Amino acid sequence: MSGGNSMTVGRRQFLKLSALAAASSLAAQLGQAAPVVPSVELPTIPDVHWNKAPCRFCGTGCHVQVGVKDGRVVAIAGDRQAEVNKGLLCVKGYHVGLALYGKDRLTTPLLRKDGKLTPISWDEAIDVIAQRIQSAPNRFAMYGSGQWTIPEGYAAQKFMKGGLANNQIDPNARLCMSSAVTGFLSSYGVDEPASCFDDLDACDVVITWGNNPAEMHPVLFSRLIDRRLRGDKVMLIDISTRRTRTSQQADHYLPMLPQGDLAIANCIAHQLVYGEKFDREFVEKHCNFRGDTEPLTLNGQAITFEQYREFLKDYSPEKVAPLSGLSVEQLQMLGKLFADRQLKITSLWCMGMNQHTRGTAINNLVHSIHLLSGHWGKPGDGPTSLTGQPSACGTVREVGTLCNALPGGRLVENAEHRAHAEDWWNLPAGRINPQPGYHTVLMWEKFCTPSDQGGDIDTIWVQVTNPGQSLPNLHRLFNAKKGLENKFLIVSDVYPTATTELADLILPSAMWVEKNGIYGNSERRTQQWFKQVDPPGEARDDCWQTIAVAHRLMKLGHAGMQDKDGRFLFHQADEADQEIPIWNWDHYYDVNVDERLYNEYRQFSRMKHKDLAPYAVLAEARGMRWPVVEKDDGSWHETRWRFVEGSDPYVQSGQGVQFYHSVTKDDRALIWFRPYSPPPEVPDSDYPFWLDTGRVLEHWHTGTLTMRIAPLQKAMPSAYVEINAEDAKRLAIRNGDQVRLETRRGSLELPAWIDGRGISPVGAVYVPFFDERLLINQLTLDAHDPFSKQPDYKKCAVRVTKVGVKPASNGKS
Amino acid sequence: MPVQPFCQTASQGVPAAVSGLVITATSDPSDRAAIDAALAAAGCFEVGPWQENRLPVALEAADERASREWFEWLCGLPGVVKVDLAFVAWDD
Repeated sequence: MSGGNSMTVGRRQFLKLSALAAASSLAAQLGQAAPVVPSVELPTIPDVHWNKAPCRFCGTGCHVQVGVKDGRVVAIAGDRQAEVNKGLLCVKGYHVGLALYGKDRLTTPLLRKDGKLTPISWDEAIDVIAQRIQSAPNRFAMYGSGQWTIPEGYAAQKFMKGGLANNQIDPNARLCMSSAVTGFLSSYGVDEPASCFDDLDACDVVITWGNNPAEMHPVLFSRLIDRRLRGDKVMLIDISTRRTRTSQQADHYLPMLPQGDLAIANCIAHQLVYGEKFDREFVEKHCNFRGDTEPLTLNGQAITFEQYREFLKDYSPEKVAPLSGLSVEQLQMLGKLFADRQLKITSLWCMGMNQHTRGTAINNLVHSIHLLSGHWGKPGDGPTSLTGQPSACGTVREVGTLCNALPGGRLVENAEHRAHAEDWWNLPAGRINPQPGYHTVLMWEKFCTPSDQGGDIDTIWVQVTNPGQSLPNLHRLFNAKKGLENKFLIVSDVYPTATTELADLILPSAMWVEKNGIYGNSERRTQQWFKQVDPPGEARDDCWQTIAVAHRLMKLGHAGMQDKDGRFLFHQADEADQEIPIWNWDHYYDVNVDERLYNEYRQFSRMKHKDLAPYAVLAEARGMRWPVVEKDDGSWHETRWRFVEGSDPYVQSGQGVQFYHSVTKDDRALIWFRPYSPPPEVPDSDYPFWLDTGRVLEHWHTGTLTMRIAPLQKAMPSAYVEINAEDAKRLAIRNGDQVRLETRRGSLELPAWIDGRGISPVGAVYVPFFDERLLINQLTLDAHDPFSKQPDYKKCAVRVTKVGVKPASNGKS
Repeated sequence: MPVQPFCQTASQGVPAAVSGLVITATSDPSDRAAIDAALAAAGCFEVGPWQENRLPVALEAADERASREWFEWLCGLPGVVKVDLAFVAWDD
């Protein structure tokens, strides 16, 4: 290790003083229980201008201060005015600025001609897309993401459903949180968490259900650790199929068998009911009971308490122990915790519960044990789901960029909802198609099926995501596109990816602070930022790309691209009522298109009491949690706990708790019984191991951005297979040896890491999915939840074989 | 409660050129003295005053690799409970 002097001494010294000042401020802040400060001086560096933005990565929604000099991002500081992160950032957040500057940024449109990607003009690119859609508009689909900004998602939604009358639009969030959506909908009648991150500052017990926030949401996890360091007693219970960094900090690590969560939740309910320990008053006042129908339906059927009690009969600790992998004592401990109403219990979950063929069911059950025990609606006391993307909530769940949804929690199947949207979009009545489109797995299956064999999706336009790496069962759902005639893949992205490998047309996109944006994080917080630097080369905003194609289609005569008064679908006028040609890139920033689209969208947000703040208010804030309502004094009030009197302005006085969107229309939430069932694929003699997949601290999702950030790439340069030492010994595998994994869907060779970052139990292996050179999703299962359609990436059967030894340092094996 | 370092950035790369960090130590005064001595001997840290058990430092390193190694070294010092980043700047 050595110090260095590659920069000029003067600038270095200045940066060091700035760094020390920032660290001193943070040190002072970390020592306080409520450390958000109203105003803070930022490090003063010559010619560096600072502005706020939410981090580009996960769903936590940390705010960063972005330091810009000469048109480049040169420094990042945690934003101490941000309630979410209170000045802290994780290692990804501190390096988010470097995500802009990978050497291989896409800077010009590329069209595949005779197999080779060839630079073309934007005009030609827009024309190719428009012609393609015009030739078969109902065989066209859009595939977006929870990284779309709210205006981007809204524009895509309006373009597809309002313009093309085509519901073939779905996001990658289908793969990460749609089970949470169906869980909330069928428990409370409306989507998204009622609780918020403030719970982490108030809880006595945190239960992580198949969740590893120490690596995936590290700033939130730091809030818990900081509380402990200040002397607060916070019990952490980690229920998981493998030991993680979260387990390392846990008071109790409860090693669960795959799919055991269903049995564990029912066992807690069993103990509460049979032990007469449930919160009878809360349940009688605020809850109804619900059970499955045959065939299964999302909202099931009403059951009595006596039926519920009978259903739970077989979930005693003694019976659940072998199903779940937990001991009777561990199950009893959980039962006792929920029976103690003096405690405040927060449940956290993310992909472990959502990427699950029974994802809706386990979401229902975790809500249910909180409702049943009365651990609901008090600070620190409730279920809190986390999301993996920065705007999975804002853009997917709220804007509704799903194949069955309309903005504001509305549904295409509902005639009244369609009529509202048509009215607000000034469309002729009947424009919106009532038939839901294909969910993600089906969309890609149709795209990868020959057109004459039922494959009725011929063109997909992908924006802001990388399905060539993140879809499950890649050979079937993505790679099968190769060689199919009449299939055309359009990809808007910032870097070459596994998806662009098969793209026929690639569009270079602007990212993050190269454009205006608005995100919505995991706790209903809507966050705005302004463009701070220019994108490289010819890269342009995704939102502009959508609008430009819409306008070109209008010129080609597509009637859907006009409203019922003959104006362009995305018509924008200046103060003199003259049309602003925002489809022309030279004029796109003549007006703040984000603000215009947001204002249009904002009216939808009130339909389900998800009222968003005015754009100007967001511009001053570090995000605000909806519903945001104006008070008598003209200030804007955000909501920390939804459905709770005193916090949620829509709860009627005297109600205490009011589930005002309830499925049963009586202000009551639903306590569900959903039975345990075994996983869809379990190890056998041919494929004797469990395979689990997921993420690592250093890399975000498919690594498209973080693998181009040198400190992160060097820290975690490649994927690996994590294997238990006992299994490794039995198979004569040493650290670094090459191991082949085979499932019924594909095979992959990776280096072994024995009891590495995490520890998989005997008989199980774990592989992160960030590495585009080692595509673990060639092996994963595309079986999915019947309601959410979310696939299970967390458990399938795999064969493990050693195929080579680690090269010796002298290069000889 | 287990007291293991929660260095969310531990064993990974961290600061590029210059970074501001906050070291959180145990409440044992002898640990803090040992940390002070170790930092002084290292020679590439600018150290601020202790704020209870938190110590702000600025780290200047030759390159990313050195930054990472120094960070790992910090996380591994006896008595260090946690290391947080507060600021990162890198070469233009």
